[in-house]
Amino acid sequence: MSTRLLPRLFRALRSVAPAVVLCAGCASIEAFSANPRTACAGDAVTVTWAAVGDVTIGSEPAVSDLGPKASAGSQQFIVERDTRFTLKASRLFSCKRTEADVVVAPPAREYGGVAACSSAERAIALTVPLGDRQVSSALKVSSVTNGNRRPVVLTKGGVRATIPAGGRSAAFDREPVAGTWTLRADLAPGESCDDALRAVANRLTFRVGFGCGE
Amino acid sequence: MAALDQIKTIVVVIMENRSFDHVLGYLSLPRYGGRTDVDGLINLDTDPRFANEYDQQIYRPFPMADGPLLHDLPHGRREIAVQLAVSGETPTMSGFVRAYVDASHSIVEQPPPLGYLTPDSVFMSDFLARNYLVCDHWFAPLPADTHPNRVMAFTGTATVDDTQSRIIPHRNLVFDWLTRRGVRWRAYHCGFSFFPLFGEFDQILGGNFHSMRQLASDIASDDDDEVPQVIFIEPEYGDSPVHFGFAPNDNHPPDPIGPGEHFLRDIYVALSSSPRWAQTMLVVIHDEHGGFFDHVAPLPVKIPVPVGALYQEPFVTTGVRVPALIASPFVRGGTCYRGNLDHTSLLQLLAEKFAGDRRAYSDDVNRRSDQGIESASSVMSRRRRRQGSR
Repeated sequence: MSTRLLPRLFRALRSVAPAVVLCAGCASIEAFSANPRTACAGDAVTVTWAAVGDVTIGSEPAVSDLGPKASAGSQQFIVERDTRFTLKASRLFSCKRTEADVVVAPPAREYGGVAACSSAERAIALTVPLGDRQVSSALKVSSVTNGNRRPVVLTKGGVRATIPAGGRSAAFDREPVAGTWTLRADLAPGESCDDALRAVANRLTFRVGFGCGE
Repeated sequence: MAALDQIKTIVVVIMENRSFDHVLGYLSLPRYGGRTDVDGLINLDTDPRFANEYDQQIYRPFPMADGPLLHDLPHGRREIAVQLAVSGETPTMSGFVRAYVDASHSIVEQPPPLGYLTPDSVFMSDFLARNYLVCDHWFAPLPADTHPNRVMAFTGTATVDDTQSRIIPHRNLVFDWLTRRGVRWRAYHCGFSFFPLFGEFDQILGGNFHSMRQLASDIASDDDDEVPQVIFIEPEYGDSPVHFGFAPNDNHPPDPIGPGEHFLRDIYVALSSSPRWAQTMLVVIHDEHGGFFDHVAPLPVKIPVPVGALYQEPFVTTGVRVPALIASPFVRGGTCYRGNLDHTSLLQLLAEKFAGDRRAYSDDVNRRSDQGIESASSVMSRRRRRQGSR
């Protein structure tokens, strides 16, 4: 093959490849979720999907009423243990697959995120809403741990507790995990927002121990 | 600089799409030796720098067995902005899971972007790290995907900010620069080379381009006056439209990293078994992080949009840290270099070696140098060994 032909072949292949990828006969997945992601045994989990192609919903371990579905929809499944739901979308030229895990009564989970600092209030703060997507309404708090490098004031509903760095609180025990949690970490005297945020890598988190039932 | 003067051949291998923490972060974990000189993984369950948030839940890095992934990971410019999760002006490096879920619609307990590999999966990188030099602050030049970062490596100028099927506009291509200075160079490729994307087919497909299969025999048979002074070695790219007898070994997800480790071993064996190894410097880097997590924020390096570039928004930082290993008799074994480096550090190195002035490559490379990007020669000149502070 001459050195003049090779570039042409290369160009042709590079230009054809995307066209194949973008072809009309390819599957795609637009959305997939299984909520709540943390559940209790016997909870109903809502699986929601939207895809282009022939859709099959599966799970490991298997739950009832899996199999071929409409290209978009939502359905509840009962979970008894940790379950991985899968969505497979197939068309003539491709098959796409994705996964969503539901964990049943794990010992604990860490929640939180990137926090903001207010110079006026001299504090770093973060609001963490936990709703249907995150946790089952049946989940109860068994303990709360402050994993941050400084004390935090943790509030949920009418309950408020100051928890030292690395410390644990029983103030929220048997409260529902679902709800809006707020974290506040005061700045030290003379400390700037930049220094305070740097000290916690811009994050505030807390760890919730779980229980199901009474 | 005595060491640089004694080096006769510089060998550059650029793999694909892995982050520093993902490949070499384990070096600082106690169970793998707990190197305090390497800025890698530590206190993964508690250190806030490793906490990634998605939908209020925190996810943390986990040991990952090598193997094919379900999806490629997001690593385009827009997705990287999500991964960096800038708060104020600070990249928090907390959005790797969010970017993955957005792209794949997959939300699992152990999201692949937070997986880290261990020595049994990266046996060759581990060998090089323990016997030669780790650079733990080598960054992809741009927070973007393959083409922009490879273009930076080979030209020093960012003319594109994404990866598409097109001829890439460029200036100061390294091959032209070397040829103008009479420097002998050669490129070894497995299947399709990256370089035809620059469009200079007559040069690219000329006598300086050899099949990877010729590497060992060339090294054994080259006369002293024909030994290349600079060698570029390319893996078999996983997204190549066809594979001419090579399996993908470029480390690009969803393919596993194992074939790339064997590829590195073959290169190292071929080079180190030659008497010329005593005058060789082997540089192994990755073009960009590929969507895998890293806890170190990119460096603030601002560059204006070059004339003729195919984008409008200037880059203001480097990309994410990538694994970088330098093997040579001229580096001290089992050490780590902490200076700030990126792919254009290689162009500074070539300028220093072959033009006698590290600022002799281009103004664009110098602009990065002025903002703290060092020459790769720094690893030899100072042999800086980090203290254990973290």
